[in-house]
Amino acid sequence: MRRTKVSALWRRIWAAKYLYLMFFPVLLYYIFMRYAPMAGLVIAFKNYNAFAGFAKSPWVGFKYFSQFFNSIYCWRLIRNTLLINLYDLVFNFPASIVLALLLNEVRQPRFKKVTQTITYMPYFISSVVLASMVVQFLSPTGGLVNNIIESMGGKRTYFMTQPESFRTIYTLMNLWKNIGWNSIIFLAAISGINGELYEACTVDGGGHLRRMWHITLPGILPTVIVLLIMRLGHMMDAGYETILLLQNNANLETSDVIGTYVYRRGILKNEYSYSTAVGIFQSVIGFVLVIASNWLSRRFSETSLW
Amino acid sequence: MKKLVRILCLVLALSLMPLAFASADDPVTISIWASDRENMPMRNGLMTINMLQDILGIKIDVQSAPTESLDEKYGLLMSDPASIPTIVQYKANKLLQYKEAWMILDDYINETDTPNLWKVYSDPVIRRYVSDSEGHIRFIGQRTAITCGKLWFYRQDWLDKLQLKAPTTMEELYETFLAIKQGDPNGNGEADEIPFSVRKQGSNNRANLMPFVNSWGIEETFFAEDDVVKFGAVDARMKDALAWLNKCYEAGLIDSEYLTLSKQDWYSRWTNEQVFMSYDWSAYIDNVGNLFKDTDSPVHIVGTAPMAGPTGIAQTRDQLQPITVDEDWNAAIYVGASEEQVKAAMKLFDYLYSEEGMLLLNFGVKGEHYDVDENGNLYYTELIMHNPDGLSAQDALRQYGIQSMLTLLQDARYERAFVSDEVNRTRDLYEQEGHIGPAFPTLAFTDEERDIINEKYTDIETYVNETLDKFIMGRESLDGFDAFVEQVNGMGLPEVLKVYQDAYNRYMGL
Repeated sequence: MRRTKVSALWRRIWAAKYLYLMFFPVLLYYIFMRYAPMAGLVIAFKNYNAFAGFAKSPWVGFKYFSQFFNSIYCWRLIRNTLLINLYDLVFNFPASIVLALLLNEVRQPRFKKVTQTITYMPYFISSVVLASMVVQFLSPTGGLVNNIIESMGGKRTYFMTQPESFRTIYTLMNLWKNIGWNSIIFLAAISGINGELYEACTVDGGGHLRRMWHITLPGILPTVIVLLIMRLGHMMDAGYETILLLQNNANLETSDVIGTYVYRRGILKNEYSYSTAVGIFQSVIGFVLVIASNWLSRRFSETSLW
Repeated sequence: MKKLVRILCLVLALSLMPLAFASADDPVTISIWASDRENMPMRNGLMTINMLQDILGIKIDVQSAPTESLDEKYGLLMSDPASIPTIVQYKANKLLQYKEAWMILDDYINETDTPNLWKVYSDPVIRRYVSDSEGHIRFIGQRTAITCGKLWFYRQDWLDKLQLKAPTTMEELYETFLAIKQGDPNGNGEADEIPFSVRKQGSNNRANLMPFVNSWGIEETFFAEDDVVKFGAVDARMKDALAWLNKCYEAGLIDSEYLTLSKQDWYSRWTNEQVFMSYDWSAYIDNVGNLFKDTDSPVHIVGTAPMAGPTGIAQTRDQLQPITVDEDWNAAIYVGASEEQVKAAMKLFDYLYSEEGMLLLNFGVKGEHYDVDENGNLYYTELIMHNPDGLSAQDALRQYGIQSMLTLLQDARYERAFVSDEVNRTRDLYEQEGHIGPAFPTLAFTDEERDIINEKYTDIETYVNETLDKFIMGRESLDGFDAFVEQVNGMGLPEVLKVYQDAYNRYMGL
């Protein structure tokens, strides 16, 4: 009985052998690049010294975890990281859906293509260039934004040194950079919706808004939920490279996130064990968030990651 | 089919032949990991690197690392011991962090094998700079010829135009700044003058305002006074210094963008006739002057002594040390190097410290890059000083790898031959009139000491960094200074100071 089951499985695999063949490199990638390095996590509990090697570095237990939680910056770092991500989630995530919906309604193909290209473009600018453009635009002497403010009778402001402006600047920058790129997947989801549904809706007398509300949105909802769950997994990490480029002593109060702190201590001071410990903490929180949101989503809607 | 296999075997065997017959007298290869700057290249194929290979009969393989991300690159290099080359060149404190990775050079530096190194490193004062916490020599540094690297400079023509006296104290400097701001020396009818501006250097640009603080007899971070290690940011004198800086900042006398100003923007502030004064590497007196070359601006930039603080101290403290431990060219030899490679590396270092090697690395090839006049003075040829490709003298020289990032024995004649008389005059003034204050040494710590520093000082550093700028920009009132001091102490500064004191005592032999 069991034998036949196994051979049935093999037969199924054999039938789809080319698909499995294509999948194989991906499997290897995950084994070697994602799972194997996890063994290295052990250095979070050791005082790692590259010259002694993994095995000979002394065990220190939870020393680095407690150092992080006892730091006076611990709470500030967690708060900043969460808030920056929350801003992104609340403003930028829906923005790309809205853009996709708007683009979908455009009936002029030429205009649609031009708009799409213009909105994708910033995504391909390197973050170093992007950050220095932002600093230039916001410069109190001769920056574009301040020139506009002044011409309208306002007062020049040095935004980059104001902690209260940092999150707005960062969120707007990411909006500008990512909105076009992120809308691609939603546009793809929209184009997968059966056209007959629209026709049926039109026959029933539904206008543009009705069609959007009753057909397009429910149609892309599974995609939105899956992306949202995956996005929640990254609530504890913010792209530290860009933040680092916009950071200065004066805005540290809101711009210092876990990533930049770990960079300062872990990479610049070569404390690998410490940065690994904080990395584990970030990943555990992200993992819990993914599990929880997936559970919620399965409970209250039909879609979930698994 | 069989035939094909046979042919393939033959081809394979033939292609492996050169490996099998690698002759025994092939030159030893030593690899060097070094920082590579746009204006200071350190790459394979430089003229000096090629000549050193020929002269010493060794093969040198340079592994260039871009200077912008050096800390990061170094961290990655050291996390994989298998990738470490024969020689690594970096900042002293970074090298000493991985003490066990480097050969102890005590026995390699002696009168018979390396006489030129011995001449320099047998001096116990110099030896300290290159030693670890147990007193073993772990690297070879660059021996500087001059001590004065950075200077204060301002526009003399503006002082003349407004009939102002040259300021000599911090109070007079404040008055002068005010007069410049209000006197409209650029004559455009707007108070757009920025009396003091600095360009961004490194990641913490406030550091470039901190030379002002030296006039109060302190430094921003660690410094020693009567052999007691102190932390400048929490010193009572820092409060007065910050009050001065804040007063200037609020009145618009210090560039409001001092935290983020790029070099290009700084330059355009000069050419827009906005900047009066700055503090920078000495060559910038000439560099800034050259910006105005094709204009009819009456600009006249002169160097000036530091301003005297309340107790009459007029010093700069971030000057060059006899061995430039803070720079990227301290060379250590990896413990994993073969005996032959170590020998070759020591031969290279000794040659760099010899008269012949010094001339090659500072001046180049005689008759081509430099020459000697009838009085025995060295001078650079037209090829360097008026380069046909329009390069500046420094760039012309460095494209050959002369004065590159290789550790070397510097020569005062090199420094003097390059810069204008004004720079030389100011530099002499600093060196002869006692305007160069004591520099705090780069200390070598034990592993336990380093643990304490990493744990406590990372947070202290962050807190001090952001709070000092708040005080300067007036975002926080100086009434909060005492609370700030208390907070820093609560974060473990006393423990960190004790560690520094111990290391300092070891260093000074106390």
